[in-house]
Amino acid sequence: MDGPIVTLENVSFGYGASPALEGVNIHIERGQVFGIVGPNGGGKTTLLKLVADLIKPSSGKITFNLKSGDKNPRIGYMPQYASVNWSFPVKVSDVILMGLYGELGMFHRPGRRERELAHESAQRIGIDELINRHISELSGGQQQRVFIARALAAKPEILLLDEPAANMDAAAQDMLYNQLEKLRDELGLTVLLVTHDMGVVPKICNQVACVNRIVEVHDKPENLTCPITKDYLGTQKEILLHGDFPHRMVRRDEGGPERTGHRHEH
Amino acid sequence: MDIFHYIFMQRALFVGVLISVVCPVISFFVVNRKLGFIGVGITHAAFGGMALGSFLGVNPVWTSVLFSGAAAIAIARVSRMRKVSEDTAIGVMYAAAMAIGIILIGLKKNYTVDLFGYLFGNILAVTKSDIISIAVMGAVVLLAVAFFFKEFLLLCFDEEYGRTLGLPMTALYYFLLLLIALTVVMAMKVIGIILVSALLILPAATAQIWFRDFRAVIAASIAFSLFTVVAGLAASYYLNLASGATIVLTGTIVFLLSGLLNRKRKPADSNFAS
Repeated sequence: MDGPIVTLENVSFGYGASPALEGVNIHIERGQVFGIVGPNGGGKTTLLKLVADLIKPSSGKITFNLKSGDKNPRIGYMPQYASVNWSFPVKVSDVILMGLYGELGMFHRPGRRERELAHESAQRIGIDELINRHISELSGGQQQRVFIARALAAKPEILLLDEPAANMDAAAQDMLYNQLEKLRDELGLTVLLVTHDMGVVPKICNQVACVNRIVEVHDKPENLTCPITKDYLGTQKEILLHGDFPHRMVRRDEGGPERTGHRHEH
Repeated sequence: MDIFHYIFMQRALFVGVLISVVCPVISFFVVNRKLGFIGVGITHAAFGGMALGSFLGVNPVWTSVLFSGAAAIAIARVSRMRKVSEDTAIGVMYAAAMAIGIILIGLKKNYTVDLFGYLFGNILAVTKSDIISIAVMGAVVLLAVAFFFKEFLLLCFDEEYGRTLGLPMTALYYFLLLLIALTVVMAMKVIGIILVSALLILPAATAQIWFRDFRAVIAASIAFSLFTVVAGLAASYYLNLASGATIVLTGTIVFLLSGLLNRKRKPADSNFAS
């Protein structure tokens, strides 16, 4: 299919009287990883929620160009950690099945087909050996991968990830980003990725939006300088590395340079 | 057991078993959605409804359903507007409902309702019509949970994610509160308004000490609840104690023993991340 998969035209949104986003124009191309960076409170999650249809723009228009023609459930969303009840008595397999609840509709129970889809999704993310574990028994990285598997279960065209690498160690982050690249390259998935990790932006993002109430989109993430997030980018601890070098480094004056280890967790 | 030769004990056992199946199922959602304090608010609102029914001369069961249901929705609405916190809304609402109840009872010169029975429960005074209304309310609650089970799971685990799937999470939340209100009214004559909130918490709280899968937790909640009600009922008969209070204390002992026997197990909350 031709044309951008998501288009935001002059979109604004505010919480009460204070504007969170103003006059946003974005064209997100199909099969790309689209990075969203910026300071806390700048509107990154708001932008993601607008695309997820969790909130409606106060002005402007968001249009989708999906193969299915229908927006839900063709968008897989992984919210930030905060909204989850970790003590809930639920197994990993049940969490992944939840990704199919929207498609199933009210009154219908998951059956064999749904269990197979959930298992397929777990295999794709490499967590099939964890499906009988309780969600709270997993490490942060494993939990995040469970939520990505949940978001992928309904075979979405767009995957929205809100800080997926939060609570992960460096090795788990590398594994996650490799998986995102694979999903993009093998499934043609479009990924919207909210991140604070400036090391990953040039590595896997095709485009990046700097968000700080207004939005500026950059087609070359490896040369990221942006007036609207200048202070934010300037205070990032991690140095932006260019090219294909796959590791993240810290500044010499903060104890580096130091290559992050490649210890695979679990 | 010879105590169950008596008709009143047979009735008591029958409603006890009904309550032992319905309360644990609702208790699972109350505990996991952290609605324990709302449950207390709803039970006290049921007192206002009971008094209203008595004042108007209609069946207090149905006025209690309406009153506690309305209070549940009001608490949720007010707290979701975020002008006041949820515990403030509950604190104001349940005191007001109790005050309305006390004034209405005071206004009615010859009230016939067994006030003490409603406040502290009297499983031995259950009538045939009580059994019918308890069975109807219990069936409605269980059917509703069966229909909306997966949506309620999502409501307890990750409400925001449910919204992204296009599910009406706010409506489901209100509906769950109405089912809690129905369960409270169902159990209030047996266990008592003051004590019924214990049955909304103890069964699932006890089961979750032992199990980590929701199917096992719900099944164990029902088993704990059946044991608690039958053992509590027998103890109240032989020791000549108030039935509702004995059942609640039996449940509390089972809960505390479970906690002591399973001390080494980490609570699920603490296993987060690495």
